[in-house]
Amino acid sequence: MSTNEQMKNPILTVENVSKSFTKKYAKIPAVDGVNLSVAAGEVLGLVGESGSGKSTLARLITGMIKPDTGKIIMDGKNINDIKNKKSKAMLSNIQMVFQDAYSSFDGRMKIGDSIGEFLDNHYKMSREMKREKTIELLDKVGLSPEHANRIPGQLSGGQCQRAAIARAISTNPKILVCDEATSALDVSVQAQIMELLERLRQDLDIGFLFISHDLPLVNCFAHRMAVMYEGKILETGTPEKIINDPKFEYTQKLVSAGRY
Amino acid sequence: MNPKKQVLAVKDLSVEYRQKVLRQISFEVYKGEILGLVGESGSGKSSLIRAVTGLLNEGGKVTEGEVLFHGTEILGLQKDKLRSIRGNEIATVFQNPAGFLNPTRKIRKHFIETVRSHEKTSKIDACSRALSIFEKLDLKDGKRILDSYPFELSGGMNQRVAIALSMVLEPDLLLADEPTSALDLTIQDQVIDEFLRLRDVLGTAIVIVTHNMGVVAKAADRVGVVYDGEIVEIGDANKILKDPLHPYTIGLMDSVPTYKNKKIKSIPLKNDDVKRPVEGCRFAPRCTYASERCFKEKQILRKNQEDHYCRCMRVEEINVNK
Repeated sequence: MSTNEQMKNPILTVENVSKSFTKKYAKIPAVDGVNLSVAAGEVLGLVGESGSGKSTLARLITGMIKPDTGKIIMDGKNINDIKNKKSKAMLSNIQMVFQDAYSSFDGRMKIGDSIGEFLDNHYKMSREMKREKTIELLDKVGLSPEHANRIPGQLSGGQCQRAAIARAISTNPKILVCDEATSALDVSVQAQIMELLERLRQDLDIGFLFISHDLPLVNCFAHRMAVMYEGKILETGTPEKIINDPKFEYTQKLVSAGRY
Repeated sequence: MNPKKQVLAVKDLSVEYRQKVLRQISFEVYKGEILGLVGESGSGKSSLIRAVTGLLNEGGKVTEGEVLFHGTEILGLQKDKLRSIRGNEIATVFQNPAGFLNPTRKIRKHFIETVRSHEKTSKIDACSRALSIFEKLDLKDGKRILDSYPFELSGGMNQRVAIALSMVLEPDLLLADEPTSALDLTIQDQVIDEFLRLRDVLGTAIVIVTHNMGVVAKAADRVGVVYDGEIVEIGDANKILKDPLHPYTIGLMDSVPTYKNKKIKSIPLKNDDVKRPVEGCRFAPRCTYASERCFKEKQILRKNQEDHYCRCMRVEEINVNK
């Protein structure tokens, strides 16, 4: 399976990207010369401890911040070129799901309106079409139309994360970046969300950058895995290879911490 | 008679907010033993810890049952008596250490305040006790930690400091509410080691409330599985983790990702059409094995084998088919 997947052309390529932040006159490299690629329908798991630069990388890829050096190429175009940056198509190709679903929504806005506003940003739609599209999206993630009338506080953690996923897939993205998308959830709810993501991957052929510190979880979902440490990618490979034969001390520690 | 010394016994404890959150919970913890309580959010795990320490939130009250600490009832105790037990003999650790420590005070002050609020002793003595507990917990560079502010330490270090702080008075019982949930996998490991060391060095009885099966597998001697305010399965950790009996526990184990279990399965969602039974098994609406009888008859916690109890009337049938 995975050899077949690797044959495909990558949709997203990260080429030698670096980003550092300045703190009290000292430059702290957060992401340091990272190379990655994700193909359609492929899941790349990114593991590493907090502070290793995983989330900074996610923000670079989604275009929220600019890299100091290097290129992020989406569908053959550099996302940070001015002319590409302004095109909505560029933005809609890559979407993100965050750890804390509640705070990724406006707490005083109904879920339906939040998704509607999102659709407004990307498409020209009549109110009626928007309503239909919202219901269709909610249905795709296993929520009922009635949930559109609720505010985030009236949803459970799992339901709210489902709504966030519905919003993320509303623009038919080619890449979905999940930043610790399930780490705030219970194991049984986590399993539901993982089943949902797997189904979406198969149905919509979305490529995933799945960021997590939970190695066993990444092992379940990812085709390839990258281990990040202090801003650098230590090693990449299939989850089996990394778990059975970790090359670096940090990876060994991570693997043994996840074993039970 | 059990040769081990009983530290905490909870008998038929029920707690109500507007709804019932705990229904007749009973369990015991012995000296030098770690009990892991697992269950999903909303199952009442945290209310249990709060009820035991008399820290229930506004509106919560204990409607029946008793909590015995070293054989004496502590639920009806006066506030100041309870306060002297809390911290001194029963300690608690919470999920978020940064919220537990005061960001404007150095770690040193936290220790001085904690020790001196329970014992008449000098500041110097309080610090030396802090250092000795650091040593027992294998926290290196104790002097530097004492002179740091919480924000100067990492999240994992903060949590270990919080554990050291709750252990400085050497309580007999430590209650930990999701102590590792906010931490990375590798840091989780360190914190679990801390608990194991406490148990081995000081013989502390520990109750760890968590939804993380990995923590339970690594730390707990005994496990209690909580579903909707009831203990559905309790007993020896190895037995429950290797051979779960209750359908909920089986489902829970299937949803835990491990290196071996790559196909995680979720427990079916609550079926809203089925009206929730008041009399019968509380898990029945989500249970794949549920029969008519399950909805109607009250389930009791029955002994299945030595130190393995399960609250399911059909446990024998189900586990033959497995």
